[in-house]
Amino acid sequence: MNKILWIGIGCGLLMQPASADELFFEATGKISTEATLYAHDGQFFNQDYRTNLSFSVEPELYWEWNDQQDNLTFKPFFRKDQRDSERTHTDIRELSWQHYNDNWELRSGVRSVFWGVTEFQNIVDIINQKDTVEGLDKAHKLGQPMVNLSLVNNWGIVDLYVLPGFRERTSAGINGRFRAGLVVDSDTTTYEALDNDKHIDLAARWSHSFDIYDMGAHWYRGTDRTPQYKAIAHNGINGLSAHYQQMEQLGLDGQAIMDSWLWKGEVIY
Amino acid sequence: MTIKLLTTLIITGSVLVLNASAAFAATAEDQGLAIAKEAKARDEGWVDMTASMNMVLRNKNGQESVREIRMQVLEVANDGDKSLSIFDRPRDVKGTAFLSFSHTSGADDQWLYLPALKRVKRIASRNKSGPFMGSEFSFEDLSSFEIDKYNYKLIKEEACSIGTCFVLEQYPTDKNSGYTKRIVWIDKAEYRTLKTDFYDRKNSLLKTLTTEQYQQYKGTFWRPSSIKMVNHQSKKSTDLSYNQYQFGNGLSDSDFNKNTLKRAR
Repeated sequence: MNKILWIGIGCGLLMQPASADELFFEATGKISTEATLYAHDGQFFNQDYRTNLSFSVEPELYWEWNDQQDNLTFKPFFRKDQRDSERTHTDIRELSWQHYNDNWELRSGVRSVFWGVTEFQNIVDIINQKDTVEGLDKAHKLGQPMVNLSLVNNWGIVDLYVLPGFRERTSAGINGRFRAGLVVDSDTTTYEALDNDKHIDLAARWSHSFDIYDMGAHWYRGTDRTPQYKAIAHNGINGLSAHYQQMEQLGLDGQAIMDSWLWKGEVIY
Repeated sequence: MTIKLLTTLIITGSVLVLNASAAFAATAEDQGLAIAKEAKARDEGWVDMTASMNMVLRNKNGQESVREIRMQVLEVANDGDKSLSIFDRPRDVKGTAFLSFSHTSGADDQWLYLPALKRVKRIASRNKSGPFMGSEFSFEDLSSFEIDKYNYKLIKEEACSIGTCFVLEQYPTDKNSGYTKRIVWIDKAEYRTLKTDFYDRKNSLLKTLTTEQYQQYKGTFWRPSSIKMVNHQSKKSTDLSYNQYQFGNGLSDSDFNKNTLKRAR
């Protein structure tokens, strides 16, 4: 894993929007191919290759009606990887209905949410599970089922979340290169919650901008998106088993602009 | 046609007389300020506006790239305007949106929404001399015009493309401005800005802005269809063409916050 070269080719597609009097429809999409070259074979067994090809598609279908007050977005994602069967995966990035009103919005369905201010490693960004087989930069997320009511006030925006259902973190399979010596066995995942991945998580967040400050505070109670791994032997094969705990968390994030400086901070408790 | 022209001449004539009488009474600074106030006063009360903007970036070899932006702007009493700009083209930045709260003095508040990351980022707008979307316009050039942003001086009156113009020097009051001064040509009949020369921190001519094809909306407000910015130092230029100006869309404060920024498309 000494030298890695990533080549990504992306392109956008646009189909003619078919707009009627009432309903607006738009279809766009992203196709990308990726070739990875390694200078050496991998460190572990089943990593004895130096090239890998991968291909992904992400269409986006969008409908809008009711004078732009309602919309529906469907964004599935599919990746085919030449070597790693765990990286070959499908996800629904978004399938959500959003309703807008003057001072509130209701967003229901599978969605993705970002919290935080810092450039990378956003410790307060905890709503979505990470899709780590897509890359280790944490920018890739699995769609999370939710009902999110957003209220706009003079003193800030309040977001209330009910999050039914949990997504396990993706991880490289036996033929993947970006992994530890032991492979995560998704059949052996355990949960602290009695209802396992059916636990309903709750969250609330306040965020506001005033003067030179942008502030946010949140409360979260539910399944921790970050698993704890332990070494196990399953069907005679050594591997890692993920365990997801319950947690309650308070967090703050903020930034201030002072001349050309942006001061940023995130704290969790 | 003749009557219309004549009426315009008479109005222009009377404005000339008015200003001529005022000219002897005040210093060049007072006159400059009075003209700026009049220009601002004539453009007050438009409440809100939407428009589409086509931006053509041209390098010194004449190669072009195009950006398409939709804008919503809200007039704010006793402060700068609020605006939301949504990028439609190029395709790879589609859905990117820019929220700006201009202020009469000090730095503007600005946020950028990046749809791929679903993330809102605050922009350090002290860096107001930085380029907007790779164009020859800086953030400062696109901020709303407010009286307190400059000190003024009337330097002369001269003939310009539509009649006679006041020629005003404007000195930015904000130390973070990218300019030492601007020289502005404002037509005496309707107080429309026709041309602006920008002088950089070294006081040499940096850019010239030409504003053309004015049309009057709601019988009061003049808006240009064509704006050209030429950078004399880099030989690059940016053309803006505005269309579909619409006033009175019923926009309010609630259309300009981080939620509306995120859902802009």
